[in-house]
Amino acid sequence: MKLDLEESNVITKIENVQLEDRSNSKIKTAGLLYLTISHLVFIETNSKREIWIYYSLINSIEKLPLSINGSPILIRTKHFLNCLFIISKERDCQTLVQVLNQYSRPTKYHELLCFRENSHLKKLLDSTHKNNQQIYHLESEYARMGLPNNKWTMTNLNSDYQICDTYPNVLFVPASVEDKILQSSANFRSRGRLPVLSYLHPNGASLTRCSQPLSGFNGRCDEDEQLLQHILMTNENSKFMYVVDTRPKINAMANKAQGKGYENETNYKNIQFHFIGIENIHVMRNSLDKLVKCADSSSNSSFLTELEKTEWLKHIKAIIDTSVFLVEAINDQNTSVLVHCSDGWDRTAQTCALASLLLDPYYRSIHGFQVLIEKEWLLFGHKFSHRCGHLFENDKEISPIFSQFLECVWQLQLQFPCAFEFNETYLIKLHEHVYSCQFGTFIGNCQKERNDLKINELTYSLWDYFQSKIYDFINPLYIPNSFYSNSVLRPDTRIFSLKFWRSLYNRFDSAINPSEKLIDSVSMLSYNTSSLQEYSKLLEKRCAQLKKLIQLNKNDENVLIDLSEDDFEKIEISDKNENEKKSFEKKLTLDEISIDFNSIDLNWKSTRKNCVCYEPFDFASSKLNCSRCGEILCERCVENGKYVSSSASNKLIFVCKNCVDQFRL
Amino acid sequence: MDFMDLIEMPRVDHVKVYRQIQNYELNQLVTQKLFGSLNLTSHHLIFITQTDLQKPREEIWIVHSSIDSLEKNVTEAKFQLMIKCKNFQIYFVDFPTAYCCNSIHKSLESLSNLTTENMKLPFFCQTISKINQEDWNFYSIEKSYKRFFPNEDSSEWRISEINNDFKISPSYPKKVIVPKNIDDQALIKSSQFRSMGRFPILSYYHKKTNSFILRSSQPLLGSNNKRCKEDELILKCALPKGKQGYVYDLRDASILKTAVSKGGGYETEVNYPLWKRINKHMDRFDQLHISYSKLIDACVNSSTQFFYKLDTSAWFYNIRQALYLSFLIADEIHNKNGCFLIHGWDGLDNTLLISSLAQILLDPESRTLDGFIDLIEREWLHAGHPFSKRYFKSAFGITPQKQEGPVFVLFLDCVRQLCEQFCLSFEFNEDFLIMLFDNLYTSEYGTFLGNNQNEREQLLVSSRTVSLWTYVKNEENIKKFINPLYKINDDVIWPSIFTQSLSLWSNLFLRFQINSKPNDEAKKEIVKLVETNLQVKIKVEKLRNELLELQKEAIDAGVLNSENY
Repeated sequence: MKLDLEESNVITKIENVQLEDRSNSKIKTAGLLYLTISHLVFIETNSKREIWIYYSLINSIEKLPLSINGSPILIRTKHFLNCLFIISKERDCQTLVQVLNQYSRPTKYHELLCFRENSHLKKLLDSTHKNNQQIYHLESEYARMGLPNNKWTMTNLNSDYQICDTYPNVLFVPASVEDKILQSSANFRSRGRLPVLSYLHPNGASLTRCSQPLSGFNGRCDEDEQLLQHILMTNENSKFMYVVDTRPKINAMANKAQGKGYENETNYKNIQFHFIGIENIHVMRNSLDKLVKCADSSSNSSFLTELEKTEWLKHIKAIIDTSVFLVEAINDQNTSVLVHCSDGWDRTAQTCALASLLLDPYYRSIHGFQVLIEKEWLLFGHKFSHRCGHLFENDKEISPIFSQFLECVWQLQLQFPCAFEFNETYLIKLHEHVYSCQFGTFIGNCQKERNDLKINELTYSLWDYFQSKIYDFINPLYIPNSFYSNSVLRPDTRIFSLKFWRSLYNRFDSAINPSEKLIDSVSMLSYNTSSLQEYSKLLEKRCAQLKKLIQLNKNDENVLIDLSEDDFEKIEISDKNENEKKSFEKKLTLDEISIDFNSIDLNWKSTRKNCVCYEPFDFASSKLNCSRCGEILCERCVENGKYVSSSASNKLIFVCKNCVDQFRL
Repeated sequence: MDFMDLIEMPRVDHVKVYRQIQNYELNQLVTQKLFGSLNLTSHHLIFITQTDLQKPREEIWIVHSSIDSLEKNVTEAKFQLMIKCKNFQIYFVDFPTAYCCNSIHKSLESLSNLTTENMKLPFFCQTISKINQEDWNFYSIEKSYKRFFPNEDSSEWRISEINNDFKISPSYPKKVIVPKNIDDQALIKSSQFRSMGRFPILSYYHKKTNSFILRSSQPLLGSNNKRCKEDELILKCALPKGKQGYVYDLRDASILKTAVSKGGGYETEVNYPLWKRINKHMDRFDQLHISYSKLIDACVNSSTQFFYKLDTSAWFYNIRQALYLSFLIADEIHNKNGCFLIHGWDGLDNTLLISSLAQILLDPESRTLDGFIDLIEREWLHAGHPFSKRYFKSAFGITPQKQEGPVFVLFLDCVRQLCEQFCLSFEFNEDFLIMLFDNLYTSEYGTFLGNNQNEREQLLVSSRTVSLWTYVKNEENIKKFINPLYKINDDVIWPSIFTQSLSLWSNLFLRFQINSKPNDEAKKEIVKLVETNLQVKIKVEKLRNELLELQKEAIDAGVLNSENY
């Protein structure tokens, strides 16, 4: 995100810095580095091109061996920007490293960016209420599924997080089950994460989630077994249910030795037990490290072989395959599934969320997708702060679990381009802000922690921010009623159908991304159409008014003219005739008409062009045309412009800063 | 020879055919099993399903020439034939007896390998539409000349008819563009010095910078270092003052030695002092065929290590290399002062690939539908790319002569990569490129028959067959091939050539594996959005005019005034 440097607090400035092109080390551009309280900013001397990096997004700072030009520093960010700065003075280099280390990973939550004053967001989001996070009540989402009903009920057993501190304070469980069973089951499950409802299919089959049982080699819990029977009985359409352990069998066996493990099929009646084999957080972290190195444009000799070696797409495939298994069980076999992994907050979150998305078209809308993330990820306690490394803590806890989920959704978008209301940019920006710490939404590790941190009171919500930029995120090809949008999505998971996510992993490598972005021009086309539709309504109105005016002038007798065809009330032309004429004249002058006439430009500039203010740098940055002058604007210039609602149907039409005053619709 | 001599059994009953088809609802491949009879005609293998009350009758038509390879699998219990088609479709056919399996196999082996051009399908398909001479004469060198040199008098180039009877160079067209002050006599001398008589001719002239691309075949130096004054003169005369000439030899230094020992060679800098020689390697057509086979094998039998297999097929290496070399040429021509002579061995394959790709980068005209057809005519058909030899077999097969090599397929894939990177700058779409691919191997149209203009004239192709462009220009068909988002782009386009920037051509190489329906839906939606946009624009224009007229009327009537009045 770009701000104005004047508005930012500059701590220090470093001169004589060179930025080396990652795809061609011979190309170096000279510029200045600014260190503000929140950003590292590089401004090129010649082109004035700007690079803004949030400290919170910095993943690693690496000092490379000294060269003749100075000290090279390679900065890699969590959103895959790699910058190699060459700093002429060694002392400046030390300052830089020191500031970056100090700011990039604070040790306390309250030092994070989202708890600080943020004038930019204040300006942007002040009109909306400071926080909308409360909109997403778990109860209302379960109400959408028709709950509570005679099979499922809401329990307040966890209202003070007393049985499980990483679960939400309301839980949905079988109506027939007693509290003491729930209590005992929680005691038998790792970290108290007992089986609870995640998604209820209209056919009665349910998706429930939990953590691994503390069974060890032969431990049992009668109440846990009973709870599963109660869950099974909520679904009349099937005589059995699946229990899916998403771990590889060998991992689950290893857990047995530590007194944990998996359900013994002989103890639980009518269950079918399955291991699926999604690897653990450490494997995923290493795989991503390899992927990032392989994507780096400075080392590109045998990309495809390297890609194969990362096994990244194999992991993505495993997650989608597992979700497809859940979908087929629930939708095709009318059979309920209980899903867990170890603690039930990584692989379980991935597969439950993805399965819901495949099953229910609602989750493919912008609003529905936010609800899904709130429910499966935030409320059910995916440890965002640990997994994203928001604070300076244990690096072994960091793992791209949520990123993998976003990538799975992207793979689906690729296969079903008309089935999602949101576009790729939405996923890329979401990925960025999960790490950016600019918003409170993804801070903390569970609901309880976020309550304790008073996230809702003290920080801005990412969802509000997205809402303020909603036009950047709409997929212009979304067809809500088409076959693929309306039904269960059945992705093709054969390896050749899975693609490398170039626009994420090479987001900032302009030499790698296509010069013309299809979806941008399609978006532009659809905005152009809706602006012109509003415009034609205005023109029709003006034409009608002029016609009446001419008509009025011809009829000097006292007759009644029916004006009901336009939005003017019936006017009785008697002695008021002259007054009426005057009021019309006052409304309609040549100048007024010429303002109207120019309110929308017919030939918008092609998205091939860039905003006049800067060179594009980020492939995910949005472009928008000013409706009035047709010029292409970048994200920052868009923020300076305005969305004006048209008088005809309250549709929001965007105009740039220069056109705002002269715009009327 | 008559077709009927090759057909022993025109009909076999009780046959089972297996093929994989897409179940759109479940979005997965399912094996379809059909029962019925197999019929052999002179050009088709026709399978007709048994009449069944529940199911409508189905027919599968396979053109003989579309069969790439046949594999017989006869055991005690099974008499099976696997038919692999040039478009990557695969059928399994179970016969009731070993005898009919063998008989059909024998017939198909002959029918699918007919080398007599006269017996090919286009000569039997004159009825598909009227033969339109205009489409056969779509390309003319005069038209190109005019486009390159709008002002003929000041041009340094002329059209020579030296090859009018195809004697000087059998694979060249009748007329070629050469430097103005080189006479025909010198051309003859040069042609004797170049392999297959392919002396240097103009391929493209870049008006914006007055730089150009020439192409030819290799000079025949041999080990005793022959030289040809006239050939040297052509290159000397062609190069205007202030320009740097580059001989772009598409063979690397190690190969040049072999070339010299076989009587070929390269332009030495002693004899061509104004021209700098650059050696850039492109795999030859026979190596490309191996790459293509590996690529398709990875796509058809994809299980483990897909990306690794893709990498080792070297298909992406070839795309990168082709785009990179044309990029370098375009950069020199447009941004610096370079002029080029391109050749490899005979100038029939990679030379044409690189020169036509460079033109697509440089010339906005070649990115229109008509301009692209013109480019194919000029740089491939008239330039003597041996279509009949190169595309006799596809990825599953090869003839003993080993003349196959999918250079034009690589060209189509490179163009598609560009279409993807510059989705607004091309007037035609991916479907057009796939249509070209399909007609390359087996076609009802005569356009890709023969190996050069000479052969096509001898076969009377233009009076006996329909041109592919007649099909393309048909009002109904042309709609399918137009990119709805096309907006003319007058600039040179600079492609990305990182492997991440390239993609596998799924809609072609995985065409029978993936479900294209969701993407077709998106394409249709784009067409719809473009149409709606156009309509609302027309409406607004109309309203604007109406408003202006009413405004005038109102001013005349004195009821409308300017504010400060």
